Amino acid sequence: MIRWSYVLPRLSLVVAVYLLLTFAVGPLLKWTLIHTGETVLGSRLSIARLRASLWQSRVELNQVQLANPADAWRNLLECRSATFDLDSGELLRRRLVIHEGSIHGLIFGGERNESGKLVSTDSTDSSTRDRFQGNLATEWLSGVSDKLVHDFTGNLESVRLARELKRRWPVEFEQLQAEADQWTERVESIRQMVKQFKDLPPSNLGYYRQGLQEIDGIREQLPKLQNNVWRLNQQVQRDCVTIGKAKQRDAEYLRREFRLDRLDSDNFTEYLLGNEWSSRMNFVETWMSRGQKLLSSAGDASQLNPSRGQNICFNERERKPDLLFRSIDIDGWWRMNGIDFPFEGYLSGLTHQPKLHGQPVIIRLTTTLPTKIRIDGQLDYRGDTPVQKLVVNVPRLNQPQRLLGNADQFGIRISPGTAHVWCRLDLVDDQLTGKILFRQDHVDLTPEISGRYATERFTRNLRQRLRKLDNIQAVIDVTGTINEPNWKLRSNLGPQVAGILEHTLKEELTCRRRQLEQQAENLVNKSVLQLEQTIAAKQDKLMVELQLGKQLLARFEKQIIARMGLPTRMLSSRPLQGLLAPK
Amino acid sequence: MIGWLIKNALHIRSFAISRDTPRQLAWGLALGVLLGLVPKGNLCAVVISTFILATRVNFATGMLSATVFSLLGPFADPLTQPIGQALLSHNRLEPLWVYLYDLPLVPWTAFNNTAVMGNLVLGLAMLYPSYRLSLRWFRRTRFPTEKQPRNETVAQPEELHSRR
Repeated sequence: MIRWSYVLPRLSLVVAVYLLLTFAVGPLLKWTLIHTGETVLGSRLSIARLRASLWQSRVELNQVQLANPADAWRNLLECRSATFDLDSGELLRRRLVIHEGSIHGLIFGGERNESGKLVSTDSTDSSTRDRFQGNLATEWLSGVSDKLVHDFTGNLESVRLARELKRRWPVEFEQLQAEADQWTERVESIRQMVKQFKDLPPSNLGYYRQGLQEIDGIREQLPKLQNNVWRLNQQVQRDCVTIGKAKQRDAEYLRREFRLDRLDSDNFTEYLLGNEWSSRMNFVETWMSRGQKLLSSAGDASQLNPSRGQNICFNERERKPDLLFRSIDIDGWWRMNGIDFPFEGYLSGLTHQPKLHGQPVIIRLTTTLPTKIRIDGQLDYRGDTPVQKLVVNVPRLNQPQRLLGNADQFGIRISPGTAHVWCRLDLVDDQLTGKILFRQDHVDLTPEISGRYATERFTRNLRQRLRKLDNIQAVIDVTGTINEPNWKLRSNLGPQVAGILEHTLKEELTCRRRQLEQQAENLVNKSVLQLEQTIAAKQDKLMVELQLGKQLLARFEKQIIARMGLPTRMLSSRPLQGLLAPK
Repeated sequence: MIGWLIKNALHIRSFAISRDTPRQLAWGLALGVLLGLVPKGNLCAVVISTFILATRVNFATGMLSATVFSLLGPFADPLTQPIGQALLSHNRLEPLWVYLYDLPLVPWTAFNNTAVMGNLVLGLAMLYPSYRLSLRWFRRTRFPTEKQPRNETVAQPEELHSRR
């Protein structure tokens, strides 16, 4: 006979406990995880569904999202599902040890539908900044472009002199011509006078005397005019000598102006590669900073004290961590530079009490599409000084066609191809050291120059010389701290391209200088020669006119004396002066 | 308001003590004191609660005293935590604690917590005195009109000695 009054209460109790362990553990665990996770990580954690089975020692989660503390509308990570197999023996000893687990559909940086902000934090991602500016190279290129574009013709002394002479000589000659014309007119007036003398009786000496005086007066002006012509001729010759000396000074001036300063090859490397690598370094720095903050926060979880009393630890030497993920398989994807990288890997030894565990956290991730990437990480918080190591190896990273530098000034277009990228970063406490290597072979470099000074010759020469470069190598040395890292960029591209650019620019500048010199020479010579010829012709003509005038005067004088009935031999002795002087 | 509270308290009292013997009532109260003192959220409290439910002690007095002593428990921490600290840090007891802590389920009792250990010790120390004092009181306060329980009568001192 069954004593139901004894059995039923106890049976109902057992059933109640069973139901509690079966159905209540899940919601309770979900609440605990969310509450603890948000407290530790400082951002919103949401779990769509959690199923826990103590009998199977398994926990399954679906649609887990952990918000980014620095960006409320993005997730730090999210996953489609996660399954953890618990070690039941450790669970009975109040230790949560996941001996095997898997996380599927892990995504970093996905978008959120609602804000994930819990409390205002001062944690911000390291600001994106241009680490590699290459400002010296920018200034150098600006200076060079000014040299090539600027019109130096106006600065040349010889050109200026030639222009001045071109203005002055005609004016002076016109003045001289005006005086000569005036003199010629006077000679013509003597002609008219001589014509009138034909009608005058020979006894009218007054008129004849006046005529001869007029002739003498005109004749006296002639040497002065001839002297002026000669003086102008001398001045022209002196001016030509002056222009010659000015040309020499102009040549020296152009050599000075077109001298090319040496280009800092390291700075030029930053100018070419700075933009591309700044964005990559910002990405790496952001994730390292987030990882370090996350692990620091998790490390602080070990310091959580109970609400009442203190927990006494027994047997510290053999103590094990309260929470441990022995091995978790991971798969998911992340997006970088607009490309989705599916990855898979595993994580081992994750715990908030690494000193008790005695093993570092190991992370290994690999991607195969679109390119193979392997990431090996080790986070060692066992000692007093945390040590983190990260090695990334990308044997064949697809590189699209891209422009290095600045197309508005000077840039180099790189042909698409594949590159090998290897990176090692060590973080000891907050001291960061590391090296990043980049190499792309079989590249085709095409210069892209601003149209202002991109002459066909210059572009052609530059392109031919750049063909000699068939690979790009870059090394970035990393030092400093995690909050203030220093990145030193070295590359074969900068020094080689700088050398080619300097050489080609020197040629171009020399060519340009010679062009300017020739241009100035032509301008000056043309102007001076033209002037010389013009003035020489006019000068000759003027001298002929003066000579003709002189001859006319002599003839007119003879005619007057003949009209007066005196012998012509008296012209030379001039006894007529006394005879012809007024009484 | 006060009248309403008194009326409901008397109602609860009459309901609580209507069918159980003074011994059941006293044990219920004593176990309730123990449960109230021990901090909750660990296996200790669950075991004590289960014991109260699994035995024939009076559940109502147990829960009532547990509630009252849960409110008073934190005030006893300055007394109980040093007791717990002393016991858990004792060198001679350390091997015992290490052994116990390595057993399955035992860590869930949180006995390594100074407040849990201290209040447990205090609760256990107060268990029998609570029972004796409350037993006397329950015997004195039984109303004559209350029904006698089916399986137990009010024992006379001579009968108690003979049963032993």
